[in-house]
Amino acid sequence: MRPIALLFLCVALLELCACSRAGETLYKESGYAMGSLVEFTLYGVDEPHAKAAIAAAQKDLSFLHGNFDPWHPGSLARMNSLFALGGRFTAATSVLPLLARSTELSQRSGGLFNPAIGNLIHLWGFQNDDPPPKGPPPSTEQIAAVLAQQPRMSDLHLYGVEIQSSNPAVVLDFGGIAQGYAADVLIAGFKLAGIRDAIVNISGDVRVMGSHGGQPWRIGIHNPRGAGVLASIEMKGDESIVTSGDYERFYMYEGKRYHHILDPRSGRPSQGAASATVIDAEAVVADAAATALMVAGVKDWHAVAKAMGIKSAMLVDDAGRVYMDPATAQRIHFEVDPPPSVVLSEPL
Amino acid sequence: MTRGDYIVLAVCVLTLSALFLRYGLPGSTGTQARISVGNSIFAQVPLNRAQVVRVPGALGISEIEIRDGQIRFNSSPCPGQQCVHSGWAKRGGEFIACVPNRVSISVLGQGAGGDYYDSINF
Repeated sequence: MRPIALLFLCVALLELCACSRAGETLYKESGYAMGSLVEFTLYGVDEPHAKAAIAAAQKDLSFLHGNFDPWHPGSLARMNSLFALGGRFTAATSVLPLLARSTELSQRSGGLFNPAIGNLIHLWGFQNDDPPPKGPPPSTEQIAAVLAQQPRMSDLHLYGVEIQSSNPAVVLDFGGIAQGYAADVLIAGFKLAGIRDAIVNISGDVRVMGSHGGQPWRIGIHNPRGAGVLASIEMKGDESIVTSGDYERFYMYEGKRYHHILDPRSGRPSQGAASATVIDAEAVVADAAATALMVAGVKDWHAVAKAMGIKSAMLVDDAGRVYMDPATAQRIHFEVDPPPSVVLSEPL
Repeated sequence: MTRGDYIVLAVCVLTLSALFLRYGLPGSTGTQARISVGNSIFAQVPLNRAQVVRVPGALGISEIEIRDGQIRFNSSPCPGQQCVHSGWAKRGGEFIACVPNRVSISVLGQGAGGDYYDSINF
């Protein structure tokens, strides 16, 4: 065969490969569960099987939400009330695994991720799913009073399944970690159901497993300071990507933006970063780390990511400049034209 | 070129044309979008016809605009206005949601499985 004919044959075969995703069995379902937008993507599963697995996942999600909601009657609300009394009591066992992960991740973040600051979140009015508060922001005196109580995860002491708080001001709010944790739990449930390739997206926190018919999953990353998608990344196997941003829940008051990610040191919304994105095998880790990196800001994100054992992270500052480690830069494909200016850090 | 070369060439061109007609270019812009309210589909709209769709949600009416193969939230009764600030979506798999008003838009890729994005991290 002549080279030209061979070339055309190769091109045709390549096209066939490129289109191989087209005849796939991809099942997608999205909807609202407990104030969150949840999207399930399953590959290689017939529809009845997919529907049954998703129905089971939604039940799991509902159970987790009931247990992790600190602001409505339930397991966590009860524990928070009992922390204030100071006595030793039997913890809700469904809360303990998340509590253990939160304590470990809070410590590794140097307290920048701190789920014990429920009182501060309540003071700012960010405890409700929606709508966000209208302002005005709390006064300096009010913030100082809550900060003086210094609630920390290390104030909690576990004795088997019994727990006690040495600080009555500890009010747990797992808002910065529960969705990631739930995404991991749901993916584990899919695995048990024999599903190998799936994505669980809970309010933007994405956990993938397997692949899209042998091809990586392509995930778009929201642009925190513009429209649409800032960048995309291909993911395969057990990976998750979580972004915390100041655009998710905020209010404007007298021309200033007050968002929901609070800096436990200042008691006020974190400053300098518009969004922080973390990629990790576990969504629970990525979720807590994304919150911590938002709080750490441009100056300290790298050190905090390192301390938390994160290998891939990206930060976007208020001006739209992107900071990331070289490994992340290799994987990220910007979808905006022109691409943003990038500041590369040392490897993580 | 020999006669055999022409035959191979013709087969390749026909195969490519058939694949293109069936599936379109992988990762190209979407041709339709699905508008949902809560867990139900409200409408599936073509992106090549300019129109404004008024969608009643939990808080009130979300106004959705379609123009030049793109779709966006024009206005929304929600307090945060994050959906409006999200701007235009056009690629298969792109997704904009107004969580408070329970209204969401999914751009559908061309052909089966033609979404450019499998999911959106936000």
